[in-house]
Order: sequence, then C-alpha cells, then structure tokens
Amino acid sequence: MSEDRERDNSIGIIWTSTMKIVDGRGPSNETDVIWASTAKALGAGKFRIADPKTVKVEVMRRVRIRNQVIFAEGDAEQEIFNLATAVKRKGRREPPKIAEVCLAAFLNGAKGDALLGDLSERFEQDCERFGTGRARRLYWSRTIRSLWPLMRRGAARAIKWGIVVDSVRRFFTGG
Amino acid sequence: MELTTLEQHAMLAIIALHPNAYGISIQDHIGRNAGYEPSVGSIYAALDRLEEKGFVRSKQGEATRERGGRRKLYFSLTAPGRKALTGSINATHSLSRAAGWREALV
Repeated sequence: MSEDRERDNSIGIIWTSTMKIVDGRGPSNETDVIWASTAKALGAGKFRIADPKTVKVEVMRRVRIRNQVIFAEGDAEQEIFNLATAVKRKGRREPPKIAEVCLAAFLNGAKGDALLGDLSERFEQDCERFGTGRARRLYWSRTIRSLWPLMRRGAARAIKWGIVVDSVRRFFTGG
Repeated sequence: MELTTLEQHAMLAIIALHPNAYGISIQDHIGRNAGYEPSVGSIYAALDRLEEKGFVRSKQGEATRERGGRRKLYFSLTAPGRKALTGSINATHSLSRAAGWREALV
C-alpha cells in the first residue's frame, strides 16, 4: 500500500463508543445522521472506509458531539473539525440548563416536572419556527415571566405552613 | 369561595379542552379566546392553588421526546370545582346586570 493510499484511507470518522467506521451507506441512527450531514457538506468522495486500528493510531484531533467522540485525521482534519463544530452547534437543541434550574427551585414534584416539560415542548416548537438561538432567548423570557408567580406561590405556601407549624408549637409548648 | 380571573379562565379552559387540558394547551386556549397569554408559571401557580382548594385534580400523562422525557400533567374539574365556577360566573353576571355596564360605557 503506497503512502498516499494509506493517508487517504486514514481520512475518516470513528466513534469510540462503538469503534465503528461509518461508511455512508445511509443513516441508521443519530450518530450516522451527524456523520451524514458532515460527509454531505464535505463531499462523499473525500471519505473512504478506513481500518479502525489505523485510524485509532493516527488520531490527531477529536471533537465531542452529543457524548460521542469523533476522531478526524489527514487532509480533511481542519475541515472536519469546523464542520463537526457547526453540526454540534446546530444540533444543540436543548433548553438553557440554568433557566431550568431556576424554575425547578420554585415548583417541585410532578407539577415542576410538567412545567419544565411544557416549556421544553414550547422550546421545540420555537426551534422549528425561529431556530435554536431565538428559541433559547424565548425560553429565558418565558422563564423570567414565570418566576414571579411561582415565587409568590412558594412564599404563600411557606407562610401557610409556617403558621401551621407555629400553631402546633404553641399548642404543645403553651406559648 | 372566590376565584381570581386567571383561575376562572383556567377552569373554563379545562372544561373546553377536556380530556387534553395540560399547561401548554390551557395557555394556548386562553391566548386564543381571552386575548392575553398568561405565563406558564402563572398558570401552574393558579392550578396549584385550585388543586389545593380541591377544585381541580391532576393526572400524569405520557412522556415524549420533545418534552425532554417529562410527563404531561392533565387537569380536570372536580364537582366542588364546577360548583365554584358556576357560582363565580353567576356572580359576575348578576353584578354586571345590576351595574348596567353596557349602558354606562356607551
């Protein structure tokens, strides 16, 4: 095998979780979809099925996408890295975590879970309509609008239970 | 027992949407029919109050991928809830009749 051919063979993407080389025979799962969009953008001609051992030895850069590690090597390294980063950014369709934590602090249990689920559902709709960036801003806006009523509700509960606990304490201590 | 405007609207939405009344559908229904869109937080705060008063009950539904694997919470009215809503709407009607507000506003 010539040096060029070896080098050509080493251009590819490998997922360490499965040690499987995706050869572009059509997407069959989420991982393949990510690969397919990367490969489509690069042009399928640049990719060949590589020997897993070779690719593993020749790893130069890795990119983490949705908990999958992508190894890219060879001439296409920088290109794959850029595209993989773009795919990662495009694919990050998750509501802001900090906003979720803020909401969960004021309403827990089944209602808290349902509230976060409703906002996630709305977020998905917004992603389809406006794109991820605007959807994340809208999520924050909805969170901020929701905080005040939830805080008031939490305070009302706390005061009510405070009064109950205080009454029980007075009853037993004779205060 | 008195109901706030949002509580009244949420209860009317629950009746209209039965058996698919959950946070988002209630919010959309109020938005379409009442001309304002309350925040999801204020809807849940109102529903939490109503459940505490025994006017609504909740039942967990299915979890879907777009909800991040979280379950829906479906709401329905209880018999005391229906009675309270009827009383509240009747009170509003008789007050508005007594005030003759249409004539007063013209």
